[in-house]
Amino acid sequence: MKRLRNIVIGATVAALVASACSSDTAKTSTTGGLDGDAGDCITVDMAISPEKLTVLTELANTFNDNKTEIDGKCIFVRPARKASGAAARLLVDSWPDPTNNGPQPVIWSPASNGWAGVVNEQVGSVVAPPGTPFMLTPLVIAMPKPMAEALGYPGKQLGFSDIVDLANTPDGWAAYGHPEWGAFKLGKTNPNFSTSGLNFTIAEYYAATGKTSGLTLEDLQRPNVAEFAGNVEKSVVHYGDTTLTFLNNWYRADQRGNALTYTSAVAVEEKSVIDYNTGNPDGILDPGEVARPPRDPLVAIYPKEGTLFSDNPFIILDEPWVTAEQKAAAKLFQDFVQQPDNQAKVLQFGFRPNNPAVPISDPINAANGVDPTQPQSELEVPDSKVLVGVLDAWAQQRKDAKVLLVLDVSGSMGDSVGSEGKTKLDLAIQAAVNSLDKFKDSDEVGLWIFTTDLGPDATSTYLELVPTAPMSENRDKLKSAIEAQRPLNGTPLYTVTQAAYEAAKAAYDPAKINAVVFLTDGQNDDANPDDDQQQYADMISTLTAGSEGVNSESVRMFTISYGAGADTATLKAIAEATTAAYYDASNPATIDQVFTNVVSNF
Amino acid sequence: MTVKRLLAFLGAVALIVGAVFLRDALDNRSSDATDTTNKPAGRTVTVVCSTEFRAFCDQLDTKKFIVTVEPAGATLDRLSASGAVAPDAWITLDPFPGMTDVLRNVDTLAPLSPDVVAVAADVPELAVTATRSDTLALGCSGRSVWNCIGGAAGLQWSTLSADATSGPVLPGITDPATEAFGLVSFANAVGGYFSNPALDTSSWTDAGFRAWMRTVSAGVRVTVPGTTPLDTMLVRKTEVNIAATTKTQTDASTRSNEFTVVPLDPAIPVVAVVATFADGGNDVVGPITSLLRAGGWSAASDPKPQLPAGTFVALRRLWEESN
Repeated sequence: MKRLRNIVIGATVAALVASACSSDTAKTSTTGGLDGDAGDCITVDMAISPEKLTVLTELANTFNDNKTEIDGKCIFVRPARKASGAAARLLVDSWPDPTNNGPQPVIWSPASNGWAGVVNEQVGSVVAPPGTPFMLTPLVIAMPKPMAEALGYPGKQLGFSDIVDLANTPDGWAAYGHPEWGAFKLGKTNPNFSTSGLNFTIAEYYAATGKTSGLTLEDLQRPNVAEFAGNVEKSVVHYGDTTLTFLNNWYRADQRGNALTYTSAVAVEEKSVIDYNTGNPDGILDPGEVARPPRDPLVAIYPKEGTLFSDNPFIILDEPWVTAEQKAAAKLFQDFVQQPDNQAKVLQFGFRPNNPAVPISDPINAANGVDPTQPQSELEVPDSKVLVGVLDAWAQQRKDAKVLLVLDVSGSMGDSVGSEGKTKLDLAIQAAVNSLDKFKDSDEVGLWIFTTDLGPDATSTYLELVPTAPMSENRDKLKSAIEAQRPLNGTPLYTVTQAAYEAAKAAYDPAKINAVVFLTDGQNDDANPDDDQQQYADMISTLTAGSEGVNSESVRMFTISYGAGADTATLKAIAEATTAAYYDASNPATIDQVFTNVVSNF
Repeated sequence: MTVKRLLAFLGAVALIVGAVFLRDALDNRSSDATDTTNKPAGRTVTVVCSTEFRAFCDQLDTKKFIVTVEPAGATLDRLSASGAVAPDAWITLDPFPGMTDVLRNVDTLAPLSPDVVAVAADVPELAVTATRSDTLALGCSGRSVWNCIGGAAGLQWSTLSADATSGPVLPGITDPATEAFGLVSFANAVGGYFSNPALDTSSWTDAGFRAWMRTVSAGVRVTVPGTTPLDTMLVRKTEVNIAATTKTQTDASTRSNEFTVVPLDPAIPVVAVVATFADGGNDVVGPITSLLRAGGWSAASDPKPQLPAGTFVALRRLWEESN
């Protein structure tokens, strides 16, 4: 017993010595950012927008290794990925549930300072003071080079007005001599989530007013402005929480030789064009992944009316959880990233340095589809009240959606999660119900449930509980129906996927975003494993065939892989076959956030 | 058994002692590295430096001088108020020290009457992005450049030359209300409008000048504190594409291929001065002069301040009233 005590003392002392020396246990986690023990260091947690995770992780590692100190205490900077809009919403709610939402940040680095205004306006006080820009990247309209050339690129200065004209041309690309490209399709992220989406929406309203600064709430309420914005939104393929969804889908389509049919233009940051053209559309090269340039490279259109910059500020938060010591440590890291050597690193990742000592050079060059001499003019970021007004106006003018929710109620959904006696189905029901508020009245939403042995004669694999209809009629029905669900039998994944897709396709509405949201926690299990292979092949074949071609009536299947046992590979394949997106909710506690992200596509 | 216990105990003690020493050493090293309070032994000379001189003042001997860096406007407002406590020396631009007593006189306060000596000079310039320099030369041909760009500030470059690339004319200056160089830049703009560096305040009621001022106040960009217009232009030419700068700054830039220098005619000079309010303040004159000369400033042609302090007070008010 006494020997054990001595061992414990020795181990404790050794740990003390180790913590006095360093916090070198940091490593890059599988989900990005830094994991590791901060020891007794001053911890500076960062919530950063996803596109700069790699560069900031590298800089944080270097800074941590440098062992900079304050009053003898080391500093441990820990960046973690959090989309700008998602972080903004968490800050408005005082960053609840750090276990699932990530640690409460000391530094918030959204893509743009504009988000700070949105947060401060909604909180009613300045919790996010103006930040110091870290690096820059302008919003551009990315287009496949042949399509840009059809519009006059590079000789003609193009702008939002050209995009609007094209979006409003009934003949689509035929009006520009390319009927084979079909209708003009715009890719644009949800402005509540993504900075590119927010900036494009601001630019859209500026274009509608003919202004380049001084956008007002009165401007947003003018009928002609609303009509203009509505016309632009009509050409949107779908929305979403990140531009990476568009870029990944575009890249996959390109590899199949049909990049020109997925979408015609996407509002992205300049940096993303460089990543795409170097064969790395999501900006992150996984181990073993080889970058392969696309067949049809993208070019960046710098709108002639002006554009907005993502200035990637370091915002040291004025929140109760941020101590003076952490603020001082954060300031040291902020100074560190501005040093010329570190600013040269941001350039390597395709961002424009904020330090004037570091000139813009490769990879920001024409070979990568971008132009270091552009943009020539900038649009003014509206004040925070107008920014909130832009989001409100967009919520009314965005393209309507027609969505079929397909919910797995198989027996495994009854597995308990956490310590509060809740099941996976309980959490999914809550998340699905919460998501209903995010649809507008003119969106059409319906509900299926699926499992084996359904129906009066126990032979059905799915039931239509609420037929698809406008939310103005369906909201309460959907809530009641979802809340009534209980876990039942097997998981006929393949046949129900195909059936849901075909049903949505049969009810296709060209004026809407047509989609299926498919949530499941299991593998295909319909009591007959012999035909699984054939069912899978039929399903993928149906989805692919229905999604290809310039005039296809695209129904996109957004899949949610729920819990640890879900067939992730199949759900990814389903999403990819319909150029949609797959969402990972392997940790059931994240389902509410995941549902929110899924609904951001509409 | 007893020996083993003793060895384990001694080992633990050794580790604790080692950890304490190590922590202590780290703490000492850290406090050496982070202690930036300048506490000279013996006589302390307090020096206030205007923001433009931060890089030079940071090099002053901390054993001799306690240095504070702040915008010239802040120093001016403090020294011109009742009960002002002056530093031993103020390093700023001409004519800020003189403006102090002008403002005190307005408020019937006793003058501080510092000794003011010009220690170095620089040449005001404009820098335009290389891609716009031809347009500027063509569009402003035959006119004072400030007269020309002030009237076009915020408007499209095509108002200067029909075939210009789209985008607005964006002259950038530091804030004339708070920054010393900002006010000198504004003085150059006004002098440029009248093609006369004398800055006759009676002509400021001229209708043409008032219209020009409206365009200037709406279209000229004031860069954020702590940055120069030249740096802002190099990082983000959509924010500033014509920068009010000086020869020292443009000569020192490593990115001179990205802009074209435009000389000013007329030009109101940029003159660094030291105002001493107490004995000992003179001690900083020699060191700061050496530092400025090593930093590219030239010798002042006349040790006495030259610019009309009262006119610059009026100029500052003109800017504030227009914005």
